[in-house]
Amino acid sequence: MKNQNREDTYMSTNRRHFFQNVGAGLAGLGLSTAIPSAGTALSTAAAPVKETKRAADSFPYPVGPGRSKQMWPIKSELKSRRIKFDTPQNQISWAYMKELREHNKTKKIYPINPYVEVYQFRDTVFGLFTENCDGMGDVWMWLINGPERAMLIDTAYGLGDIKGLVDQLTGGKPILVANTHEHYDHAYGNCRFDRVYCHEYLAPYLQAQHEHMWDYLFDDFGDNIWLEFDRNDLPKFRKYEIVGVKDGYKFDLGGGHEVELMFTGGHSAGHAAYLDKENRILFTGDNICSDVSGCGSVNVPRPGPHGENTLLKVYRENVKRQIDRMDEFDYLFPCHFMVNIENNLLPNILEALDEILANPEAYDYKIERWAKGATEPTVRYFKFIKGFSVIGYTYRKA
Amino acid sequence: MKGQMWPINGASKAKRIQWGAPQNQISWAYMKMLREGNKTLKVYDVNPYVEVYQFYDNLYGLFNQNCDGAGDVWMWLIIGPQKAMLIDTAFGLGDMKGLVDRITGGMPLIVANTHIGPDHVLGNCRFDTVYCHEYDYEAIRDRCKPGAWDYLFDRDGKNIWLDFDRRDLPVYKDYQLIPVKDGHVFNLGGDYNVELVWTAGHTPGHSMFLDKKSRYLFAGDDVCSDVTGCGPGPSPGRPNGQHANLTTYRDCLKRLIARMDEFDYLFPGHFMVNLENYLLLNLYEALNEIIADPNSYDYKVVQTAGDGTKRERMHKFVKGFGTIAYTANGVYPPKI
Repeated sequence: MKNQNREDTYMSTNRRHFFQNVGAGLAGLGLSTAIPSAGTALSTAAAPVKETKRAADSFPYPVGPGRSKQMWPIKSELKSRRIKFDTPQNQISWAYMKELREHNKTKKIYPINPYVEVYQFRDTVFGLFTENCDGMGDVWMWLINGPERAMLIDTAYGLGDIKGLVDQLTGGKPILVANTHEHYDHAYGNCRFDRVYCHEYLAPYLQAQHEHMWDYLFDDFGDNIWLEFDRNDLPKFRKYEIVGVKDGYKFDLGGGHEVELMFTGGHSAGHAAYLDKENRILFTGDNICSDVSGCGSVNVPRPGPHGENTLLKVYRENVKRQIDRMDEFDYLFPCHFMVNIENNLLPNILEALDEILANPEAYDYKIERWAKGATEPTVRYFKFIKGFSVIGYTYRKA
Repeated sequence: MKGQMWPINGASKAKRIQWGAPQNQISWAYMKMLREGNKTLKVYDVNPYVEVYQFYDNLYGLFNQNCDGAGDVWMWLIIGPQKAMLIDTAFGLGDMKGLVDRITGGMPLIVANTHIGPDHVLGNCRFDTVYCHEYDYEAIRDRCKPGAWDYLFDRDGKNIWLDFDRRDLPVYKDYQLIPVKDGHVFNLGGDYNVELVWTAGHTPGHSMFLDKKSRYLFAGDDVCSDVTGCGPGPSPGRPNGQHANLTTYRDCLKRLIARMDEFDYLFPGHFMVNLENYLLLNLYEALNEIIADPNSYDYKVVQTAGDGTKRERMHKFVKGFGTIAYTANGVYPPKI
């Protein structure tokens, strides 16, 4: 698939590395100071450069009056209001969400939950869009309205009456709730329901939930840090039944409508995708994302039970399994940003994963972050996926 | 099913037969979302081939299916205080003039081209006067002429790429094509000005249009969420080819970036639109990396053009977007 040889890959990698670090480079600075022009000796690129790119360095440019640097507000009638994001999201994701949220004819907001925009993507598939309560990307929950039972995939932060909204959309059908993974923005609404399904490796993470898990959304003055909303609209924590199931478990929505859990690992140790066989949709969770697909590490697994499943090689095997079953689904629905993506994206993802695993140094660019008081940066590497965005990964050099 | 570019449930009268090169996932998913879900979509009886989308109060996107195998095309219609302005004319399929008049209520109209592409200029002859940058003047003159549409049909007269009624193509008539220079300002009434900004790259005279009042930048084909082909190199026998390269585009883009406080959103000629201006920084970064080392591409594709000729194009990823494509002789201006 790759049309160039390895040597070329190294060249491009080194080149980018140079720009990324000097960087600011470019982006940086470009206007006044300049980038080495074509004729400039490249030997400078070979010299180790210590200067670190900071996201904030990318914007010495003028912006329009009253404008922030990027990610300008999208028109919204939600009760929540964005205060700030932690990291910039990419152009394709922001432009997609702007068009969808400002112009989609199926969008509805129900009084029972003014924090959720409801979009109808198929006769029986609803996307429940809610702003991320912290500084990360806004979130999709997916509702499948089966003949006898409905299924809700992920529960976001639980802001507003999620259960009431789902009941209204389904006409009060029995609801099966399942998680793709345990992260804040996908599973904190679980306690609004009596029972939640997940892959068995995820269960210990969900069992650790507690009444203070939302506290980090507020500063010590009690003010919302990232998203303005009424704190009283968060759930009151209560224990609920957690049912861990194995790879291949089938949820029966009645009338032959089945949804299958497909274990993926990668983004988290117990991460799963859900295959809706009736609608021919694969709900991919956070392993696929039009901003940054964080689908595992080369060799630094996350701590915690079954943490070894957060290695890229595990996710790679599971992507391969999905590709082998591509005749069972047409479209991919991730949990952030762009959705309704054709399944032929999967081979492109596999290609990028294989390139990373073959040579983790063949990244396209990297971003270094210095935490408060840190004596060394944390580094994240990024590899482009053809036709899409990037895989972000960590890795420790031998 | 394994596959890609599955049909989008569009509202245009034309139906796709086949494509040339595949388009990328982000572009296809965006167009599916937009064309199947946008609540402003209208198709007017006067021209059933064009899907009309209203992006802002005074800005309409006129979406045309590409009559050949390349990507579908946007024309942009700005409603000014006294005049309207149409940027690009696509293939001219259907009554373009009637459609524009219908939307504007018959306002006086200024028509301009971003560049030479057949999917942007063959509708010119539906209008009396069209403006373009001086470096693309001769090529546009030479492109929109009798017989220009013949390549859309096979020897039996059947449509090759897109199914439409051949009688709905324009019958060529002479029109006035007026070459203008970089910085030319079109006045739509009062203080409503739109400036032609020469950017080169995709074609020698490729230009963007800066709507200073509404703060839009119409970016033509020098910004594209699939492939930004801004380093083609000189076309044999075509004038001003020394400008169709990445370096010249980079230099023009640098000037444009210095003016980023004059516009907010980008509206390219294909696929994803309403993009925030900071995307230009990412394009600029990728261009500089290629110019510093043309071998720093991410992958190569051998592409077969509409006329059957093959050419090798290098692709370089643009952060947060699609790719830049260029040929071996499309990186630097030719040595004199």
